[in-house]
This record gives sequence, structure tokens and C-alpha cells, in this order.
Amino acid sequence: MKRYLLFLGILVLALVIGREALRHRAPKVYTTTSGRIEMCLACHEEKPEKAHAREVVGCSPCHLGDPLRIDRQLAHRGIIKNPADLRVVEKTCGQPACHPGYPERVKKSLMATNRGIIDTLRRYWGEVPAHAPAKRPGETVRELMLSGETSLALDYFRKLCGTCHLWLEKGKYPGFLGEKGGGCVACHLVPGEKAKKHPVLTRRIPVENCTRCHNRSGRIGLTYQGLYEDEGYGAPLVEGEFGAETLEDGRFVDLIPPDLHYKAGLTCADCHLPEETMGDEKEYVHFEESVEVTCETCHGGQGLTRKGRRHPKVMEKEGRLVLKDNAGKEHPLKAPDPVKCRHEVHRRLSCQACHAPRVPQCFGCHVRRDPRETQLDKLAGRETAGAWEEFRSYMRYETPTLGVKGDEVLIIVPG
Amino acid sequence: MTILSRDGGVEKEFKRLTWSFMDPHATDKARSCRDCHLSAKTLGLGYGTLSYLGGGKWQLETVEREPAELLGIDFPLSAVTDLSGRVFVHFSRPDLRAFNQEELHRILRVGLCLSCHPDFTDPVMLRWDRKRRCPVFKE
Repeated sequence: MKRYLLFLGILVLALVIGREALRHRAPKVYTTTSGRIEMCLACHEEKPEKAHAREVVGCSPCHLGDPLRIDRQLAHRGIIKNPADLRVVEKTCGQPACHPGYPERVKKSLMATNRGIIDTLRRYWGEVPAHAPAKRPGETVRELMLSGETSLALDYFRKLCGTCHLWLEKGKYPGFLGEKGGGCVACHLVPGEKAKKHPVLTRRIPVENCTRCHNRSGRIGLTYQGLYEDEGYGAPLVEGEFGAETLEDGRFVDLIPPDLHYKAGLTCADCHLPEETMGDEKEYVHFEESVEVTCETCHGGQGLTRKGRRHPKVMEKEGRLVLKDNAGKEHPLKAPDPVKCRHEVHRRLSCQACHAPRVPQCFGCHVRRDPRETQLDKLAGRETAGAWEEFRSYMRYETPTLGVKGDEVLIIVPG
Repeated sequence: MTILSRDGGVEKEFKRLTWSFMDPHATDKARSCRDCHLSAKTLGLGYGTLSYLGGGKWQLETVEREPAELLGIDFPLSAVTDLSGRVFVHFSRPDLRAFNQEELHRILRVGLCLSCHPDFTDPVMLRWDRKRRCPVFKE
């Protein structure tokens, strides 16, 4: 019996020694500057930018997992690659210690719900009676993802519009589609230095981030930068190849004069307020309810939006109004011409009615569904029956047409 | 919109041309007065040439084929209305519309003034009097 116990003891000891030899132990206990244990830092060398410095934040407040473990499998339990994904954002970016309140706001914003696109499509296609309320239950991106509800208009939305929203998982689809979506990082992420092994989170949203989505329909993201999606011939031909510039999705573009504000170095987020882009806690249906900055906010309006909110970048410097852009550059703001712009004969005119002399316009939009083929439903993440194709009669970069909304004369375009 | 059938034929089809409003983000120096007050395209009449016939009457020579058989529409594709104020298209919001007949003729009437009073530097515009009548042009 004694010999048996001795043998068993030696066996257990050998097992313990063997396992200890194989176990990866950190050389020390890693902590953040606040003293919180963050053993992730023992293995991970990624260096985010200063606002999310590894020494201060660590990894687990954003990426979750178990920061007390050193074993790879145990430490990575529950880890998430993209903390900004709207499915988890309350536990990560939006946690009380970091950016509280934002997840709730963002989830109600139009970039997360797409309510306007869905409502408009269904109305145009006769799926919703004219008197139906614009805000209807079940008709947001997330609800459609969960319910699987479909119809002709919704099938079109799922297949052709379904990647331009904040609920899209970043990297879910190949190519340029993989760059879109991702919750907060759809806007707030820019590539970092390779050596730092971590992208940069920024409040200086570059135009490219906005135009990953804002490049179809009105094509304002392209126009702003001086790009015009042309007829698609790819001309001029250079040595037998298409010589025109192309977008990531293969569309040909011509160069046109960019918007004056773009030329001055302003990005989209220099004019558009956080309350417009990330929501103001209200759930709107159409963009005009959400957008509050107007030309007059800066030009003759003392820095107030149409909702009476003070523009955070407009300030008084030495008796003049200036806009301080994201890069820190100050732009003196000119008041409208007192005669041309304020003349009583033009009191109904919007600024853009005169100040947008040439505008891209797409005439004769036509869509066709072929039930014999399949196409990727971007909300469901799988191929389903029916493939849509888009056609048009012609594109023009031309004098815009004017119309009347309420009592304001403004630009109208097909679409 | 066309829905094909399993044998490639047309199962269902509908046509609806809708125009919407937008800020195109194409800010530049302002357009000229003529660019609006004498432009058929700007006024929503589509691509074409306007001629004044006298007596407050205008004529539009559209450059687009009318009707467009392939599209199945009986108006120029670039137009939203005509000189009589007939509206061809839908609009994206209940309070959005094309210029009506009265507005079209009022805007075009100003176009006739532009030969003598080309822009806002003109004394007539600087010392604007809504009731003043032109001593030269006979209505």
C-alpha cells in the first residue's frame, strides 16, 4: 500500500512539474496606470493612439475577454474583434466610464435605422398607402435583420442598399464592402502605422470614411470632392485601356470642380454636427428632420443651427466669426451679400439654388429583378432567389432644376 | 421597375418617375441671372430652347423626343412640368412641387429684363421699387 501511495505521489508530482514546465507564465503582473490588472499586455504589443493608450486603457475594456488570465484560450473567452459593433457597444465604447449615452443615440440615428430609405422605397413602390405613418414598427435595418421580413421593395433594399448602415459587421463581406459598417468605427477608424499593429480611433473623421456610403443616389460625397460618376464609358482610352479614374466598386468618374468648402480643407464633419451624424436621441424618418446645419449657420446666422443649437466649431475671434476645422485651421466666415442674397425678389431662394451651378443628375432610373438568379441578401448574409439589376437612361453634369418645398426654392433632381 | 418571370418574360412592371430635393454639395460662385430666368432646364421644363412670342406667351422647343416610346412616357425625361403648369412626375415629399404656371411666367418675365438690367449691380435692382413699371418694354 505504501509503495502504491509513493508511486502515486511521484506521478502527481511529475504531472505538476510537467504541466508547469509547459505553462506560459508572464514574467510579471501587468497593470494599467490606474493599477488594474491587464495580463493581455503580456502578449499583445498593439499600440492604439494616445486617447486609447495601452498603458492607460489596456485591451479588455474594449475587446473584453478575461484580463486576469494568461492562458490564451481562457484569456480570449468572450473576446470581440470590433468593440464598436452595435451589438456589443454598450459593454465597450459606450460603457459608463467611457462614452456613455452614445450607443442609445446612435442606434436611433438614421445611419443605423435607414428608416428614410426603407419608407421611401416602400412608398414609391406602392407597398405603403399614402396616408400611412412614416415611422412604422419593424421597418429599421436591425428589425429587418432579425425578422427576415421581405417584399419586393425590401428585397431590393436587402440586396442593393443593405451595406450602408451601422449594423453591418465590419469585414463581413469581401473587397470594399468589408470596409463599410462596424458601428462607431464606420466613421471613427483610420489606418494606423503598421508597426503599431492597431488602427487609429479618431474624432477627425476623414471625407473618405463618409463617402464609403454617401456615394450613390444623390452622390453628394463624390460631388463634394470633385468627382462625377459619368456615363461609364471609361474614356479617355489610354493605350487601349480605360483611362478614366475609377472608384473602388469599379464605377468610372470624371474630375469636376470640387465644392468650395472641400477646396478650403473642410471635411463633412466640420460642418455636420455630432447631433446630426450620431443622433440627438430622437428617432427621425427623413434626413431633413435630422440635418440641422444650414448655410446660414455660418454665413450670417451667428453660428446657430436651424434647431437653435450653437455650432461647436463656429466661434468669435477678434470680432469676427470663424470656423475652426478639425485640423485646427480657422476659416473666417463671410456674411451673405446684402444686395444679391438678401434682395426681396429672392427671399424664397435657398442658397444652393444659386450657389450650385452644376450638379450631377441621373435620369431614367430603372430596376429589374430576375427570379432565375440569386443575389446576396446583405442583411441576412446569404444568397437568396432573385437578382436585381440597375439601369439608367443618361447621366448629366448640368444646370440643376429648381422646385419649391413649402415656401423655399431649392434644387430638385430625379430619384 | 420590371419583374421578370421564370421564362424571362415580363411578369410585372410599373413606371413612376419621382423627383426629390437635395443639397448637392457642389457649392461654387453663384449662377447668373440668365442661368435661371431664361433656362428651360432650370425651370423644370427640361432641355430645350425658350422663345418669347409676345403678349406674355412663350414657346418651348424641347431637345428630347416627345413622347419617349422606349420609356413609355409622353413627356421629355428631363422635364417635371410644362409651360401650362401640367406636372409630369411625382415628388418625394407632399410639400415638394414644380413651379406652377404663374411662377413660371413670372420668372420668365424677369428674363426679358436682363438684356438691359443684367444683374444686381443695376440701379433698378439697387433701388428696387416693386410698383415701378418698365417704360420701354410693352407688355
